[in-house]
Amino acid sequence: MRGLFRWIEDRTGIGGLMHEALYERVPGGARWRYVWGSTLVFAFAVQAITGTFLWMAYSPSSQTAWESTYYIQHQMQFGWLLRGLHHYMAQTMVVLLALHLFQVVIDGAYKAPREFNFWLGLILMQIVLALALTGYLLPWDQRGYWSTGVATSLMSLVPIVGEPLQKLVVGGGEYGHHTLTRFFALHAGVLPATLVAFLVLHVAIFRKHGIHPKKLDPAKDCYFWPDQVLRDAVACLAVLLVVLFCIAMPVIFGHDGTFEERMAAARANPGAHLGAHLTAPADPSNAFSAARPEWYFLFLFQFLKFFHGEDAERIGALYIPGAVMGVLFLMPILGRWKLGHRFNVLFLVVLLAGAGYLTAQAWHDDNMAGVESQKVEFIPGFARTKDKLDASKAYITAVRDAEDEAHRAVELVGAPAGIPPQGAVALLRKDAKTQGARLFRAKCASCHSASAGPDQGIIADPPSAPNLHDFGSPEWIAGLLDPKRIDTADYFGNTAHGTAGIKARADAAKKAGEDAPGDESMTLWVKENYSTDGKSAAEKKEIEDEIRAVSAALAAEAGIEGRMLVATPDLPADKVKALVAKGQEVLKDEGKCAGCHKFGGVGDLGIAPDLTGYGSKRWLLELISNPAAERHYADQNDRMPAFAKDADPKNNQLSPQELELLVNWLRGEWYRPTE
Amino acid sequence: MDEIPLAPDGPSLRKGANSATVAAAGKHAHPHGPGVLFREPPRRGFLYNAFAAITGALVGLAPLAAGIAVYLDPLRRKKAAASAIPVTTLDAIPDASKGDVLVGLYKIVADRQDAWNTYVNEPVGAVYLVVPKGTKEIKALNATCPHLGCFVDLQQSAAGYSFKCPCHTSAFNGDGTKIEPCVSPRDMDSMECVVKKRITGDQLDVSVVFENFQPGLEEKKRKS
Repeated sequence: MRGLFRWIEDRTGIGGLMHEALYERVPGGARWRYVWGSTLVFAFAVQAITGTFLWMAYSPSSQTAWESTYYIQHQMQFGWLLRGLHHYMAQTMVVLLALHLFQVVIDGAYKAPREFNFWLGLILMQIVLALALTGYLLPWDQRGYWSTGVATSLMSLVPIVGEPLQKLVVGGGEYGHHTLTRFFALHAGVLPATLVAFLVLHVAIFRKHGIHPKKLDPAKDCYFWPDQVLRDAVACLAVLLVVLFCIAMPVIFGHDGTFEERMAAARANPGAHLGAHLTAPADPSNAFSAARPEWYFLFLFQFLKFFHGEDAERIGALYIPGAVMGVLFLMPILGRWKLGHRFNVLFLVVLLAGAGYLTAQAWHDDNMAGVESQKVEFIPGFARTKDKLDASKAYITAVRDAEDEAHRAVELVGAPAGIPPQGAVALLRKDAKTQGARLFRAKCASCHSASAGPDQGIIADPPSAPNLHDFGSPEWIAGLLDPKRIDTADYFGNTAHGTAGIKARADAAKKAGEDAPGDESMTLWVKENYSTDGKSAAEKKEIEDEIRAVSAALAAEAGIEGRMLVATPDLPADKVKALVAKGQEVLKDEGKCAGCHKFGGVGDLGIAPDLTGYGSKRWLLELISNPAAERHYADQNDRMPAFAKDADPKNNQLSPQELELLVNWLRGEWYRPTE
Repeated sequence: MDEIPLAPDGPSLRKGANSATVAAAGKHAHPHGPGVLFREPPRRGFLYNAFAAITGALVGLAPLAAGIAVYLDPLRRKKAAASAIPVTTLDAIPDASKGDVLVGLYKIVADRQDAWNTYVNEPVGAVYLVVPKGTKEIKALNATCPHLGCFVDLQQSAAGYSFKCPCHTSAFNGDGTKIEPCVSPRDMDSMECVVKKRITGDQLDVSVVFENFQPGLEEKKRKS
């Protein structure tokens, strides 16, 4: 065996190199404060290893980047662990960089003859930050897409070459396939290769000059192996444990259920609960108001809020960060003087404190509406003004929406049909649950709410039309027929069909010298006929039964699964059938509903909406398309615009697809995964 | 031991010596080597050296130049001229005599070319259609923030509406003008609105000449 080793050694000299590497003298003895450089090399090794394996499963294009990342995270065994390691080690690396820089500057290890090594270290720092920035975009999710968009937009501020530079980095005028291929080439090829080259130089020069001893004590001198190696290895283990802890954080600190329940959920579906986040697929036409850079760039994000206008922005985004880097590069020169060294240390402390302050402020700006932070209001920049609270509320809502949408995207791609070649974004664009809500917010929520209660769902400010939450259910219809509820903001209270609206119309008619509107209002009819005040128990029961029957009959017309009266042990199927039949009789009664509404061939159109097929898909499509049609409100229509009146879809406010998404959303009809 | 000649009149290397010995050629003995001394490296004329250096550089630069030429490709590509995309009809535009009126947020659907893919009828952006107070002018505002490109949110309340960017606090009035102090270097980007009669029928359509603009700059510069 010894002969074999000698044979290899004669031909490679590898043993000599190992000896040279391990038996580096550590003057003054091994110390914990020397571990940071080694932990960074370890972190980079982890990134190179995990990155290479991610590479084997990742596909950089706008149709496949999110999809392949999803597949790694949710479908491949231990994909969540691989992504988690890569994601959180990147963040840890930034922290380690700061610690290493701090240790080097405080110990004066940047002074002659180690200037070049310090400069190489600063270049390495820039490369690591560039790796972090390019890596953030690669999953092509909403968060990475919109946040990185801000970073590349900043490039346009670079004097003279800004625009072409931005175009080259992005691979065109807009984000697309070539943005990903370029970012990926940088992230997995150019930057790591450059990093390795500079790292080799960094370590070679470090070896040339040896470690910068904190304190010279020849009696304690030792070799790198094993004393310092042991400390380095323990520190690397600690780093790894921190990263593993971060991967498991959602289960440890989550809010859903107990720890045991979260553990059980993570065991059943680890990709959904452990590792790095993945928001919904990038979509340039869908707002993402929760866009923020990764936390270590948050101070720069916050810093930009202080610079108003192009010239100021250039100062904040380019010149000040450039000047800070300039001072860092000058540190070895300044450090020649004692005062200069003190300045360097102070500069670094102020820089990190400033970054910490801005990070805290950014976090507070975003989250103040969700935390009781009155106690820190005395700190400049931490005041809870109305504007800031509103912005924070909007941000918190946006984060919640983003989480919902991310969850929904995973549900959709997990459906049996899987991901189509057009990508997951095509599924989301056709999803009634998310797109219907967006459309409702954009087109309907200026009048209608869709809310189960305060702070829930979508709330109009102020509501001036019925609350459409649970529309078409027996409960919703019973509310409409309830004299105590029909005249509230949840139904007709704030419309022309409510008491106040009728009065306003009568006053306006009187003023104009016209005839006052008749008393055919639904609100007045319900109040007069379904009020139980002063009624006997038998009369009350009769009214309640009638409301129940009409509600059941109309819910049956709507035919929404989960929103119809269904048979239960207490209410057998034949009784449900009888109730619906009774409701239909009332609907056809010309002394009651059919006096104004048409139903099943009885009654006339033009006074009030046709109740045949009430709440059905077709009925809703027609109503939203043109509420003033004869079949619906005709001339009684109260402000509701016609969203798709025209035969040519190009000229309508809602396309046929949008209309269908909205109707399906109102009816609660969307894909639900089976348990 | 035998000696292997490296060149007819050049230095020689003892058989069995490793490459590190070659690297150490000169007057100094290699620390691990047998202590062989070599002659000074041969001297050649300037032209000879220059030829060697240039040839070496050229063979390296050829693939690099090919790579850079491809990398610069986006610079020569120009975006097609924007065309008017119908978003709504004129009868959907309300009266703005009492205040700024928001007509709505509209997705712009158009064909999009992304490198090798052509996407037909895809959402490519979004506009807020507004009618500034006291005017009959329909204004189409690009929903992209002119500060750094985030999607501007709509803030609605009983008092009216305004636009707020969820990123760096840019805020804009209902007509798209900046609410000072504002980080944005310019007002929201308005685009040309075209109202024309439909080919069939009397309906008047509102179309937007949709374009994206370079964020961050005071000048409203179309993205090329």
